[in-house]
Amino acid sequence: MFNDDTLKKKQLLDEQLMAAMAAMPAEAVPPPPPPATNWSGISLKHSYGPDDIKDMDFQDIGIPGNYPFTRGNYPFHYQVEPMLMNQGYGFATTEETRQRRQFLQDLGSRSQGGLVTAVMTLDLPTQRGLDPDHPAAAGKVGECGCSFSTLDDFSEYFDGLDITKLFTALLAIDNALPINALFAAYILDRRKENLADMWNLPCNLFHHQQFWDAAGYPPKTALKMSTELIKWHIDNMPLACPGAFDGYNLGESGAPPAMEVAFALAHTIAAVEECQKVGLDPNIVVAKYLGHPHVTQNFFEEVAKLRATRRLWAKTFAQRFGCTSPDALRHKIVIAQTAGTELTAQEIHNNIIRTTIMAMAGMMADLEGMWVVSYDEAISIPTEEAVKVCVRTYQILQEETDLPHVTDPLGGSYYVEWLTNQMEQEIVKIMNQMDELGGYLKCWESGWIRGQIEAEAAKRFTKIQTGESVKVGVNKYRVEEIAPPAEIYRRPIEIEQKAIERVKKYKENRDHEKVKAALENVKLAAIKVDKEWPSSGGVLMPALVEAARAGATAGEMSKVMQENLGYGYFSG
Amino acid sequence: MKSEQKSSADLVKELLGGSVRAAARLITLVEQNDSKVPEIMRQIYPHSGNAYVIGFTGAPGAGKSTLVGKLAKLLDQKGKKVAIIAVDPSSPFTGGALLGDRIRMMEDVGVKKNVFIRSLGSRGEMGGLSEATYRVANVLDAFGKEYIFVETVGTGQAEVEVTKLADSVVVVLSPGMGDEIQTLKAGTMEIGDIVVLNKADQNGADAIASSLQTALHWAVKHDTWTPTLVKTIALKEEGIEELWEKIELHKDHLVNSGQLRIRREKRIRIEICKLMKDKILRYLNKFTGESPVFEQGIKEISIENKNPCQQSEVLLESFLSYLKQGGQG
Amino acid sequence: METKTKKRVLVTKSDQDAHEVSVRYLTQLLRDKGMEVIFTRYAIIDEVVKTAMEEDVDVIAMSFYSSGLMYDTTRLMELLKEQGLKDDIKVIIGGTISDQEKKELLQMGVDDVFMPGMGTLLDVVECVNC
Repeated sequence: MFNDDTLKKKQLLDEQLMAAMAAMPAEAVPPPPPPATNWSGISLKHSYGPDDIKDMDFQDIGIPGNYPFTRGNYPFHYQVEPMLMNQGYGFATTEETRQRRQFLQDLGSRSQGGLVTAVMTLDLPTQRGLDPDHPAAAGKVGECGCSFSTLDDFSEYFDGLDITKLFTALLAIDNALPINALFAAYILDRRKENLADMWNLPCNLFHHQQFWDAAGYPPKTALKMSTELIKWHIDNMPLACPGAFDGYNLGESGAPPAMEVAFALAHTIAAVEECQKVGLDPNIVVAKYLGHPHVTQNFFEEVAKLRATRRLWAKTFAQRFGCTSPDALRHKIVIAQTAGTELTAQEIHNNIIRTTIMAMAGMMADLEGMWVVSYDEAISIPTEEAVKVCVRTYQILQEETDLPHVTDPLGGSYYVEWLTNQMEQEIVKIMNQMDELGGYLKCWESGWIRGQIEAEAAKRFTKIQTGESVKVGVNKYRVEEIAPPAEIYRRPIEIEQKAIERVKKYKENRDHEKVKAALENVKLAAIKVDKEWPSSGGVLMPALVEAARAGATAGEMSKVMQENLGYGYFSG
Repeated sequence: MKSEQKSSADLVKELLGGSVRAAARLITLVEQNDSKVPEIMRQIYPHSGNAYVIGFTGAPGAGKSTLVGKLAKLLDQKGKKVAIIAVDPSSPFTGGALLGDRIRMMEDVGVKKNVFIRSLGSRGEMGGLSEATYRVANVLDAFGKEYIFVETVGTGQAEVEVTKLADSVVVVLSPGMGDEIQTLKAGTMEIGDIVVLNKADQNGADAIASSLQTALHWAVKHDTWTPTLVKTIALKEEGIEELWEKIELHKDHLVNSGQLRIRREKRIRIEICKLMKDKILRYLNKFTGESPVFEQGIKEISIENKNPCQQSEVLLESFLSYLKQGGQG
Repeated sequence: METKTKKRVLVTKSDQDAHEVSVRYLTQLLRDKGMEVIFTRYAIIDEVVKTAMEEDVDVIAMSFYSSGLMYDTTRLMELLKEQGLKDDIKVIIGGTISDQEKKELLQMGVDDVFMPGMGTLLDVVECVNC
């Protein structure tokens, strides 16, 4: 990377410094400060020079827009395309959710190609595959998201909107297949539109048991579900992005940055291999993956992590899977999310500073898009006032500052390039460790991954409890007990009763025989997926779409699937 | 916090009347080695002796809890009365415990079911089985439970302990648990009347199943029963019915061959020894703590320089007469 | 031989809520204090009461992040009363709870409420232990 002359000069300067210090009387020399260690466990020096990256191959840095994309996916980026604002939202009622979407749009929130994002959080019963009238849904319908279980719910939210201009993401978690089947049925039958015109981001988060100790399906089945979702969208909805490289939830659960990427990448590799089993071309599958990393206030560690992720992605899929398509090799980090766990309820406005630093890290790593979390998320569902600050954060960074003028402005920094290498090595180290333990799937099934994340979370908690990690206004410089929030958003209670009545009415007014027959087909397809995999790959999702068109609810479809594909288990 | 100070007689009466709460309370008392234990045991004993106890053991991660949950669900559907005792390790340092097995069974034996689940900390007892598990099983027996499942942490000694308590012992294994040969060598299987290979859909399950079959064939047999292998996929509820058939076959075998009586005699022997030991220890503590004779004996060693060995013999004689007088003198 | 009575604590949260990092950490802290902790998740609140009864616990500690707070707690307190357990079991609720909600919770008989920004998990441990 550098010629001998440069390295010699650097060495000389170091020697001069050492000599100067040696010449001073011992008591005048301040003791060297202890080296800092970042969250991923990498020990840092006090400063960096050319000698720290002298052995690097310049190819690994390259230029923006070129393999291995360390410096970003595009030669020109924010100069022409501002960072995308992919914020999620979702309320008790479709009415309120639509209002919120309009509010964001009026503020100038935008996603790619002028599309409007419709990232919708669904309520917890929906995420678990329960209709509102299920006993276990009681008290939780419509809280923290919309209740979606029938075509009527889709009509209520989407009717009248130009759905070809929406970038839709329905956060359905375990219920992803039935919910996307309903979405397809809605597009086909109620809107009479082409599936091929739709931008969709189906929620492919079937690895979530790695960090939440309960899941809808066991790990092996989860990989099949992911494959079904990906295959169906590739075949029917080519604009959709059915792959999720999700580090966010790992980070939120306690995984430090390098571990987050290691587990997310290991999962993606396993998921792509599963797709290969059913005959899909990795060039196409990998291109369908969007990145959803966690971004904390550790500015340099995050920038290095994100650059390392892009490089490792390109290398992994080129070398291990033989991918050649540039679309596959570019890891598109479209929804990097600012860390919710780092926000504090104390002195709540400090969170704006925290999220701004996180968003800046995202820009310095040249990400495509982010989800800047609102400052009040530490205590409640975001208020209008708080989400306005989020939209303004992107706009100020993009339009008031000089940040967007130059792509990858930190590229070539001794420290940033060194740290990018170190993060990459740390990620690879964790992945190798899993290989030694018998492979990723085994580490997942045995709860090893869960255990690693939990141990890290405990470490972090302990550090905050003891004050070793500073949280300003919480464990340091605290001046007063904060007054707890006087009010927290709660959905009007009648929402639940309305949702129950609506789904009951929906179930009454349909062709029962047709629904029964369609659900029977779902059952047969599920059994095939369970017993005849991978030759049965691709049979489940079409059966679900037909069931949705016949009038089946999401809860009914989920139930049939779980009964025949197995329930999840607790790995914690 | 516990406001209730009911007499043990009242609690036993309520237990026999079907009160879940009384059962739970009595379990706490017998498990925490309360001074009321002998009284409680005396009262419930006439009502016990009807339950069939099945021990489940095996290495962590084999899926024991899930399997036990599914089996309990099946029996519940058949109208049987089932209780589960789930034993988890206690911390050797703080005595605290995280009793998490229940979580794996909840889904199957949820609120509508009659299955009673109780989590116990092993409290550092050798083998991991809480020393009071015997008594807990007795309470549940008197409570009218027909089948009592005891699930233990599978760490070596525990597996032997469970055989002393249970009528049938089920050893649970799964593929990919490391070197299966080691498992065979360790003799884990020799204590199993039934060996379950769970997660039988995992890679390599068939190969392990056949090596297990061979090992079972050559295993040391304690009576005329030949241990059998059952393959299950507990998460998908496959093989559960077959496991139950095998357990029933074993039960029939024990009854018909008279082995059940022999097994239970062993259990009674252990329990009686334990009760005697406890009582002697209780008196001994009292004797060493309050008897002037003992105090005098100690002083004679320290002041008069008497031989401690000889002195202990003398004091033992005093203790025995103290014991005969029911802790007087 | 008298054994020291160990405090038994039921720590639980809704099966549907993924926010569980801190509640799991709490279980570790309680265990390290020498308590026996039964950690579960519930689909319906009736399971909590069944568990509390069978396990004969001294304390129920429930965590809420996102939903079901008022509904589930109301039902919990009703069921505890119905089963005559109310006076024997201490109930502690923690999570994203507002001032107004705290008042209502205390009114329905909850023993203590922990809200965002109020103290630390160590205070919760203290509260469970006393």
